[in-house]
Amino acid sequence: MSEVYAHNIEDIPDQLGYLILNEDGAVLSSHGDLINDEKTAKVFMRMVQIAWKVKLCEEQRSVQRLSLIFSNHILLATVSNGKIYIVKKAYVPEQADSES
Amino acid sequence: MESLLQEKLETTLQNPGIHGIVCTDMQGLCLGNQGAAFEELAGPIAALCEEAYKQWPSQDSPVIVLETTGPKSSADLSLLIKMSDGICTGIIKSKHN
Amino acid sequence: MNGFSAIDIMLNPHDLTEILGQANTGGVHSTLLVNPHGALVAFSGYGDNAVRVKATISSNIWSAYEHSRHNAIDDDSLHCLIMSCQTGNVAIHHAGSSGLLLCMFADKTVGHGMLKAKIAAMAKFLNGPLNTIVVS
Repeated sequence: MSEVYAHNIEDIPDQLGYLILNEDGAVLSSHGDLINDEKTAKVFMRMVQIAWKVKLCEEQRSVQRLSLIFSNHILLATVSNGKIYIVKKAYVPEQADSES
Repeated sequence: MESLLQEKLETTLQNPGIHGIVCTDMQGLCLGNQGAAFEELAGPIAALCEEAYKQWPSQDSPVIVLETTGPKSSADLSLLIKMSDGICTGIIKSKHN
Repeated sequence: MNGFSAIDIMLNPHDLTEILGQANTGGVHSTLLVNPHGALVAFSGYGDNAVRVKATISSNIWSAYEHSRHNAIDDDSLHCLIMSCQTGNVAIHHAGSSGLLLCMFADKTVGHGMLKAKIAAMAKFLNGPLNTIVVS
């Protein structure tokens, strides 16, 4: 299998791990917390398939991103060039920042 | 019987930047909708919640955010989804507001 | 001996109609109770056009599905049936143990989920009182 170029995913601030999947949901590359995380890959594959068909308004161009916000981390997914990129980031609520 | 839900939906729609709101049960059957959120969104919303719930049942259900692009950047919308007590709520709001 | 002495609870037809009427809000225009043979037991709603016909048709549709349930994936009995028609939505739910059916007719503006939630709540509420009457 050819090497998958991970762009600059590793440079994303607060990044805890990433997954790159092909169109069939197979893991092409993984790193950090999401290393070989087939279960997350499978769920995101299904969620992306649903989400990318959603139309919020008539003149909508495309779906850009799907995010899952948990209490202490975020999972972000996007589709580019037939690949699904999933990134796990630490989540610091904005309110907590301003209060402290 | 359902006046409280309708009232809540209407008051939510009054908030700035909110385009529409829809409530659905876990089977994707619409409980109520207001504004630009169509009944047809009920299915995908429930399906997304179901997937997240199946994978992370022990955790507090996540907020699912779907960001879309429009013809102009001012027309960019996001759909925020959250499940609680077996009911999924989806809110369409403009991203730049 | 008094003929009613065996019955502890009597079902008041007036109250029954009133209870059915509580669901007729926000787009639901009629709620009716039908016996397994398709005859109307109780009705509440406005614009009672062809209500007896609606009752019979609803019961007929229900029994058609009930009879073909052995074809279904699991043999669980039918709980609720929701139909989307050209001019409105209809929900049918079993009520009580004697085979009575609760039917709700609503306009298109009422979501399927809301209709299902309403009819399920109504059927649950009627379950107690309806179990005390027996339909032959």
